[in-house]
Amino acid sequence: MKAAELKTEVEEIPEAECLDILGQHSLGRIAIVADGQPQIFPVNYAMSGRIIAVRTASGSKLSQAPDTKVSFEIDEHDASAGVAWSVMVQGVAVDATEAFDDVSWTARAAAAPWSLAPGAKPHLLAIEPTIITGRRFQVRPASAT
Amino acid sequence: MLDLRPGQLEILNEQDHVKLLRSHDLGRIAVVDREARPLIFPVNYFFDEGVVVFRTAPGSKLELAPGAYVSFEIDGWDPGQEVGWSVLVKGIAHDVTSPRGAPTGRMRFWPVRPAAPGSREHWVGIWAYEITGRRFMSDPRALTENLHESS
Repeated sequence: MKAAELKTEVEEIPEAECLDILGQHSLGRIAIVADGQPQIFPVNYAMSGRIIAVRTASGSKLSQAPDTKVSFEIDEHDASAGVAWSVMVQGVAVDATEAFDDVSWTARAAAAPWSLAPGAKPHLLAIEPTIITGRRFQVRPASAT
Repeated sequence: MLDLRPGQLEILNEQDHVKLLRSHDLGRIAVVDREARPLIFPVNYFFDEGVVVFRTAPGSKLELAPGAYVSFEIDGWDPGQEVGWSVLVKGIAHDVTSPRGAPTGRMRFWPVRPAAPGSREHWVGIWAYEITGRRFMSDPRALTENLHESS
């Protein structure tokens, strides 16, 4: 089957629905620019309103994130439903461990943004979204190339 | 790979990286845009010979990746085993749509199968210069210790 014959299109997910989806998951990836290069790290997270809260370890690459532009992404491929989607949040990272700004307070109110990975993670990183986008599509048949 | 105990973290070796990269086909690429923002895009890929190859349509990935330092990531979480893992690839991306030699010519025959609709006529390879990976088993007892003590 040629791609042109497929009826399916990529659908944009509205921001409000993206926030709903973000609230229903707890594993995502954060991208930062460190050492002049984009780097990706899988993280557990929790939402507090529009704010994404992530726990980080001392001295980790993610400790370079505060006050820089970051992106956060979740995605899923539901093979049984034949649907794939992804949500990307662009924003600025804030060290919310002790700060008194609104974003930090909001992040600290997130429900237990625990980390499943071992190791102490005493710092709380908040991502304040500036752009939230999502897309969803029907997966094309495996025979297509 | 090890038989993990709860709370144990394993640093994966090169053989593990290759095995995981070759047994999956969905990952995420991170690129930096012109305003120094990192962007993440899920892509279907194929890995061989130290190169991650994906296909794309004209757009952000094609504008930003070729010639640039990029990162690529795959991960997994098995809720039954409580085991998570990830492999991170750092590399330099090149447009391999028009092959310039034997290695890039071969890549055009690799089984890169985009799941997304639409034509993806451009092929991009990420030449890895560093691959790292880790695997862990979560420790339920440690989770409460990790909770934030703000309340």
